[in-house]
Amino acid sequence: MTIIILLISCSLVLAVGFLAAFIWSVRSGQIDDTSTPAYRILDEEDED
Amino acid sequence: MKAVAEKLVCFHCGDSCTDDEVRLEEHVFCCEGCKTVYQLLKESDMCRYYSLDEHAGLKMDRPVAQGKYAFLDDKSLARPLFQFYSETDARVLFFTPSMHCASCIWLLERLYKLLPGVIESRVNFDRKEISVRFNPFELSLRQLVEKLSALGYEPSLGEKREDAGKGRMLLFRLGVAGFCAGNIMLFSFPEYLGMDTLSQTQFSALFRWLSAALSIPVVTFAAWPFFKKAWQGLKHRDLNIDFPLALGISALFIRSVLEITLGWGSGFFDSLAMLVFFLLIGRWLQDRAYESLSFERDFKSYFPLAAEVEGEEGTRFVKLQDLQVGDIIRVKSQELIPADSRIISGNARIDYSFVNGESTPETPDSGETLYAGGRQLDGLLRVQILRPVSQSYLSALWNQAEAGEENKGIKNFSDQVGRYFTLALVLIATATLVYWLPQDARKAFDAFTAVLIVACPCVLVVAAPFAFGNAMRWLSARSIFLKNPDTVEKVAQVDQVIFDKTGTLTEKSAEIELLWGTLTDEETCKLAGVLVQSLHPNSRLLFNHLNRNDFPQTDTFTEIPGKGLKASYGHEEWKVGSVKWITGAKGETESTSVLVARNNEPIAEFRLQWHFREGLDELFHTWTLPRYLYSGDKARGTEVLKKWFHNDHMFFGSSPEDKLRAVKNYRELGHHPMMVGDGLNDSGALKASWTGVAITDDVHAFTPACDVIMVGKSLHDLPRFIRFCKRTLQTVKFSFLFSLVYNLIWMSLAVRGELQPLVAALLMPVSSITVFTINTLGIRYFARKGGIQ
Repeated sequence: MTIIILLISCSLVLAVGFLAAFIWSVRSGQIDDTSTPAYRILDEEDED
Repeated sequence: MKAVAEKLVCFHCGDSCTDDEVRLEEHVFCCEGCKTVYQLLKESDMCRYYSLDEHAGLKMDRPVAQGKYAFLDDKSLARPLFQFYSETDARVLFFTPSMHCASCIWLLERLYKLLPGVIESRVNFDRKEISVRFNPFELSLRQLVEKLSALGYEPSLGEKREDAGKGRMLLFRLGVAGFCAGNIMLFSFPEYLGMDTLSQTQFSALFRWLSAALSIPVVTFAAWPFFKKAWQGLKHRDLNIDFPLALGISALFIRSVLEITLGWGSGFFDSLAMLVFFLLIGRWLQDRAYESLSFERDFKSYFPLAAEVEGEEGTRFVKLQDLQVGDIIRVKSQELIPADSRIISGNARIDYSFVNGESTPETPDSGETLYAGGRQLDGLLRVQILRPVSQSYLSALWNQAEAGEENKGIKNFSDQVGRYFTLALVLIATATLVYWLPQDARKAFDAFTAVLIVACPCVLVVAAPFAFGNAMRWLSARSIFLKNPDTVEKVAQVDQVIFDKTGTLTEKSAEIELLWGTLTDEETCKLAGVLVQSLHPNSRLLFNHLNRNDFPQTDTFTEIPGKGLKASYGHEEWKVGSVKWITGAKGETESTSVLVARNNEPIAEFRLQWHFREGLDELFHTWTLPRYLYSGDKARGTEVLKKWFHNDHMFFGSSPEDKLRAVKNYRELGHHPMMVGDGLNDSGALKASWTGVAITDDVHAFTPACDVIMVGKSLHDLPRFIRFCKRTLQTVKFSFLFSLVYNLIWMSLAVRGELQPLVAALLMPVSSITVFTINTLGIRYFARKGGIQ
């Protein structure tokens, strides 16, 4: 049943990875504004 | 000239145009300002602005004054505005309250096309902020601000913005709590499924210890704000709403640690982590709701205040925030000093009671400094602005004016309830613990924590301010400005309304007729010089009628409320006012007459015929609230008034003191009178009333005595306004009741130990969200139904 130990460590490492990604995204300001991008996507890209 | 078949609408801002004078190519504009912006966009090939949202532009009829932003060239003044600054790269964050649609975002994020030197610009639409990165070598901060203003997006530089990153800490906590809660639940699965008996004990021990380890960041980091607030409360000998939560979390944690160390069981780490996770979600939602409100509620940005500025061609009205240092403004009798300034001419007698509570007026000499917030009592003052106007200071003053008054509002009520409720809650929880402990220790702890968590009264505390703030937002869209959210509640309690007549029920324009006498050119000028100093509707009207701007300066001036004006030019003494006051005549006199006397000798008499505002028939016809009329005039023209007021409810010839006394009298009788006046000669009554409503046409007449400012043309909305406030209060009360019943039901289950802490943790935020939803939807419904939209 040692495989369980391995699996648990894998899952924990994975989850910690997700947590780190979340913290990074908050820190870089991706969650600061959740409504403007919804308008932004409506703009057609400019030719330049 | 071809006939204009359809209504002309400005291509830029969508306002109706009076003619098609201002045009460019095939488009019509309402003013030169709008045309300029169009040209600007056209040159840069950015007309897509108009295709995203039709008439997206902002009306540009009031161009930003030249040199307003000259101070930005001063490095020491400009520096604090930068978030980051180097020789070639600078970043600023502006609050631009005027952005309102997708087109605004589109344009503002393409500033680099319009303005060489801009590297990048990003908009945060919720917060109405724009962050601009630019090269200060190519583009100065002043140019940037001026360009933004020219486009209609004038940034508000004065206010310190709270950093958008403030909410990030909560998100970190939320993330950590979610991560731990998820993993702890995974480790708890064997227990949930009853596998602990068959699986090896080593695993179950491992899982328990892993759960315990994961719960440590939950308690020490994620739940930290609850502990901190509870502790802060305790230090002030106060049980606040965070206390039961902190207690519940500690109880769960300590008990779980005990269980696993002593080998009793697996503990409640899963419930603990989930509880904190849900609590934080609730708090996050609450913050979001509040934030969206606070950015809309910023009434300073549309609060209409203006001052009369002297220019080369007479005077003009300028919005307070557009006043510049060095401007010379006219402050009339009873007006507020909008900014720190120096006296140029005029007799200053300044009442600083709104600022420092000192009731004896000060009489500074010419050249001395006056401070913002003082009220001029005697005559016209010409002052020069020394420091920029702080509108927030004036609004703060408005709020402060009544700070001393005791407020036993529902907000206060919810604070009280919050406190007692918390105390009761802790007592009930302890009683539950004591009751169950001898029978079943496990159940006792379950019940204890469940009671603490499920009945948390957080929502009681936040519901009322949230609802009132929401209502305030609806009303401001209708040009009804409330002093603060609590005013909603005060308006809801109004049970009688007292009206002033002149300037309130009547319009500001009237027909003027010279009854007898002739005035020479010089006399006309002198009369204008007297009249210009007074804010009384009659004086203003007559002054406008004379239409003279070359008037001389009087040597003395006094305004005697309810009687008239007294002034002197050297040895000449001028009086303007009621016939009775000047001639000492007894009995009935023409009340709408204004007599002009020089050295006590009448030289002319004017008759003023005021018109009643439109929509008053509609206003009074359907309205059942008791109403009274107190007019400074004599009983004339009462035929019209009889339709609106009961004969015994009309009082004529009342002085400002009479009005004040009447209002006080009604209050002593236990009524909640609303005083509706023009805020000039009845400010005493406005202040003494339960709620004072100032009706204003000239937006510059600002009186801190009132609770509500209404624009004259929306006077007929008054019953709707009161009804809406009543409905808002009912909605809040209903949500309180709902929350109470909800809490009682679940608490009764929890006391009996039939509620798992985990379920309690789920139910708590549900109750908060429901109360917020009831308030938001309820108020929106009543706003729509009551015509406040």
